[in-house]
Amino acid sequence: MIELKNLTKIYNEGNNSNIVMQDLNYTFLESKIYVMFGRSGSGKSTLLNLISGIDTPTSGKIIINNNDLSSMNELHRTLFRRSNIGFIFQFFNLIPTLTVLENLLLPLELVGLVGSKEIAKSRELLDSVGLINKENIFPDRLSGGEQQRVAIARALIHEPKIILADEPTGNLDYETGLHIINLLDKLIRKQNKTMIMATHSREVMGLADKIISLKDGIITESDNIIGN
Amino acid sequence: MKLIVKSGLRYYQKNLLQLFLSILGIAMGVAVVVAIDLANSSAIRGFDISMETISGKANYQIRGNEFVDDSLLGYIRHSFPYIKTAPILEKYIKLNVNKPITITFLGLDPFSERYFRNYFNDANLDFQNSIVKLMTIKSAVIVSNRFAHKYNFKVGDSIAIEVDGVNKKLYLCGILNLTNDEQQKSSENLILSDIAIAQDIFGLKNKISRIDIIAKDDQVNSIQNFLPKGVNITQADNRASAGKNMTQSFRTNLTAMSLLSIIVGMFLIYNTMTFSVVQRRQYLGLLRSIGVTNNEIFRLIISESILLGIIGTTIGMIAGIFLGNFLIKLVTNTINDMYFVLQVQDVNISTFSLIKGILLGIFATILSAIKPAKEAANVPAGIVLIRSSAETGLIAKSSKMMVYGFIFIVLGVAFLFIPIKNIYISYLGMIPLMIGFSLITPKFIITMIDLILPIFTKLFGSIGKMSARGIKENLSRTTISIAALSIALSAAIGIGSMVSSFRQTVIDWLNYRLNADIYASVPTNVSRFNDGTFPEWVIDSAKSINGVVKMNLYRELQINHKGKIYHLLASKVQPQNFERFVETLYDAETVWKKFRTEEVLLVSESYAFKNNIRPGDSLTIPTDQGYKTFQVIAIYYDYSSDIGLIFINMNVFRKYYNDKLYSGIGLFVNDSTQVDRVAEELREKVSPKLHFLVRTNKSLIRSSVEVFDRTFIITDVLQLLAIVVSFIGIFSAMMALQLEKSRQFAILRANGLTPIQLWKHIIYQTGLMGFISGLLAIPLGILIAYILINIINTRSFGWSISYYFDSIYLIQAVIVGIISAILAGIYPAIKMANTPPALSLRND
Repeated sequence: MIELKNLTKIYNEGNNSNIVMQDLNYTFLESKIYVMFGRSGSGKSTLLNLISGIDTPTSGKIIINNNDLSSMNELHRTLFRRSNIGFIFQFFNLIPTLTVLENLLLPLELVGLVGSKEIAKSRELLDSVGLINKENIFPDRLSGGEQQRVAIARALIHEPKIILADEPTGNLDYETGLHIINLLDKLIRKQNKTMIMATHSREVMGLADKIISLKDGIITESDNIIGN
Repeated sequence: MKLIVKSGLRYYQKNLLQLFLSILGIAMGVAVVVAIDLANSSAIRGFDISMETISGKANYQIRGNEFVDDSLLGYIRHSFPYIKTAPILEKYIKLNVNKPITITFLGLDPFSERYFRNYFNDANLDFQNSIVKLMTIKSAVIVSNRFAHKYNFKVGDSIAIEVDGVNKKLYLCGILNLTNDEQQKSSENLILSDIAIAQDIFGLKNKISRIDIIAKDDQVNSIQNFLPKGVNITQADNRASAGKNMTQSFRTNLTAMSLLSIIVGMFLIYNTMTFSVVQRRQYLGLLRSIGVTNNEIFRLIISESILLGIIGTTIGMIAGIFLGNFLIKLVTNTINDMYFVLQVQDVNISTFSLIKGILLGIFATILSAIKPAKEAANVPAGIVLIRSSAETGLIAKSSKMMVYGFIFIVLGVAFLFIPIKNIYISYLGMIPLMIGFSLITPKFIITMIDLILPIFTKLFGSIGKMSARGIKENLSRTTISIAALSIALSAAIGIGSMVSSFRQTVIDWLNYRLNADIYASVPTNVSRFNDGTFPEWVIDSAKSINGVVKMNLYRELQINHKGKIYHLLASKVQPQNFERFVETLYDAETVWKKFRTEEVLLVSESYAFKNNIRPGDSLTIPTDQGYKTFQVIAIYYDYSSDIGLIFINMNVFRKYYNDKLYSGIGLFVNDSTQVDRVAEELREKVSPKLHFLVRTNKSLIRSSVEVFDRTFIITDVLQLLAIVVSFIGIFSAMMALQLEKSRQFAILRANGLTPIQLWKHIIYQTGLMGFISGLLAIPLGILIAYILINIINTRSFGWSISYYFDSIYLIQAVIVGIISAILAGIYPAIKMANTPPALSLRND
């Protein structure tokens, strides 16, 4: 469960203050998929950054499974993130100097899991995203869709409780985007994870348990009546 | 291997040329330091080997100021029958081979030798046969197998030598078969003879240089009490320590200057590591977002630097040993010119020098990587911070950085003015200055670009505008390159200005001092010291030449007494040769009057500095009449010796020293058109008996300046190496900067920019960066020159040097800056211009 309590984020740019969100309160439930809409600049990415702990709120609290993220220091937030959160980015952001398989192994290595079991697990996951034959290839040799599939596998490999996805289809064509959505749907539900996905794409709606929209720093929620 | 480390290594694998240049930079810095250290330590080790061989097992020596009477040996043996003694007559001679070389001649008593040196044992020599010949044949000598091989002599050959200007022939009666490596080294420039034969060869009847003895410490006092005035018993290793002390300042300065290469090298490493961080900013942010901690990132960058450091240092050590072989010749040449004859010129690879090199290389690399590693660790997680905000941040911070820069400069200058004699600490004071200038660099670049932009736009149109703006837009990168190049250029300005100011000061001083028309002396073994002597008849011959109206007479004597060197210059000079004073007890006229009529001394500036002497102080010196104390009444300018000179009136010298010889004369001719004729006549009168160097004052000044220039060759070499190291730095930085912009260039090319236009764009940009570096180097260079001249030099040698401002070094710096930056831009320009735009766009 992710609880946002009176969450405020203000960016100071010179003499100007840009209030991205103010006194935001919301609770994300476990094992649900949330799709978050909102215009550019509405604060979607900021909210994901705050939940993952890569950015800090100006005030307010973020409590994830009874862990108060806002009371943690940088080191603890990082350690918390490496065990509990998987991140999927719009621009894939794979490590260019590691092969596909090594990109998957890295999050495991960071939590101290190194061995043949982990390699087998990574291969299995690569197989499930359809890239088992590309494990020794460097990311720059993959297509956009393939890179995003690796990124999804990397986000899931260490079995985090929460997956945060920031416009995961934003850099892909329609067909490939749909393929990625289906893949995410299959894997996330199979593993019973909580996912929050920021997107502009209406096609993604079908994936959601709950649809939320962020506007003027306020979250409005609706159930996905289209259903899964 | 950890994936995060593997990923870091693969970054370098993808940027191989940059990796190669970084390693080369570290290697060169280490190589220079190791080479200088090896050359220094080898010179000292060579000196030690010579001293150890010559002193043998003796623990004490009995010596006078120059020679002692050999009858003393009989008295000592009679009075102290239980101590072992061996007489020695030692002299430097010139061996007349293709290129005459100064070597040591030792006259020994073969029967006393077995307790001291084992040259004459059965294993080394066909004893019976050779010893008999050695003691009975006129001018018979023996040499080592290494000597015979080196100069191609065999038994029965005649060996041509020159002693105090007089040519002699020696007869080689035997060859020592030495097998020990150190013995071989020490004997490769050594001739041995029986002591009586040596006395005959040198015309030193009944004279010996010293008596080597093996005595117990508690016997020393009774021996000393027995000795006549002016003769003393001293520890045998005193001579070696005196030699080491004498060259201390020279060696320390050399080491400190070699450290300059490491400082420039450190900027290079800093440059490389910062680039690798800046280039991987996004990747590092990504690592952070998937849970890599700040500390892990910090450790990653430091580990990378350690690896670079280890590889660079290893290569540097090997290169250093090779470079050391070349530098040892320059170091020994300088020592031979300035201090004493050093005969062993082999590089002695000391483990200590190598360990120092390893520690310095790796430590310097880690130290330079700390800041970039911290920057890397502070990269925010995710892609929160985009590049442009980093540049905007630096532009915003530039004014504040400039203020900090000025604070660093003020602190550095203040630190340098703390009167500490330690030369390393003085050099350390330069680091805050360099940091200060680096901090000023961003603001300087911004200001310069704002000023130059309209000019560049007018001259080179849009391409010029783009080039100039690019420097400001990429400030976080361009600052590092410009700062690194300007630091190297400023070091070149500083050292160049120091050497040229020193040279000019010496020329002015020589012009003032050498105002007799003709100078004459026998050839010397050490250029800066007239150690050759000639007798009174030469003076009479000179006096008899028509046209000679006045004369200056000189006798130089170097006394090595209880580990201390006393360099005496006795003279009888004309009033126009009176010295310029630094500080006096009386007015100049009174000083000279007292010098001519009373028993007083003058000392040179460096002697006063090294021995803390002020006018009015008393100075006790060893004479043939025992210790004598004189009042020092003035300190005068002198640049001939950094050991320092004690200037004594010839009459006073003759009174206290049993010495009737001369080292040099200066002749004043009544008609300047007759100078060449008088010189020729002097040669004709003296040369048949003596190899006599007769020179006009102009040619003496010229040859003195040649010696000066020769002693600074090693400085020039070091300066050149520092520039090469910095060139590698700027090349590496420019290349990284330009290659990184390949996508931007590809877009420009896709929009119609021709390869030539792209070429121009890169060259304009790198050239402008070089120009800015050159300009920035000018104030720092002037400051470094001032520090080298007024602080470092004074603290090392005690010389006052006038700063002669020479704009040529400043112009040179700007030109070298522009050329090296343009050269550094050529490769990326060619590469970028020849790469199809599609490839760059696809690869990005």
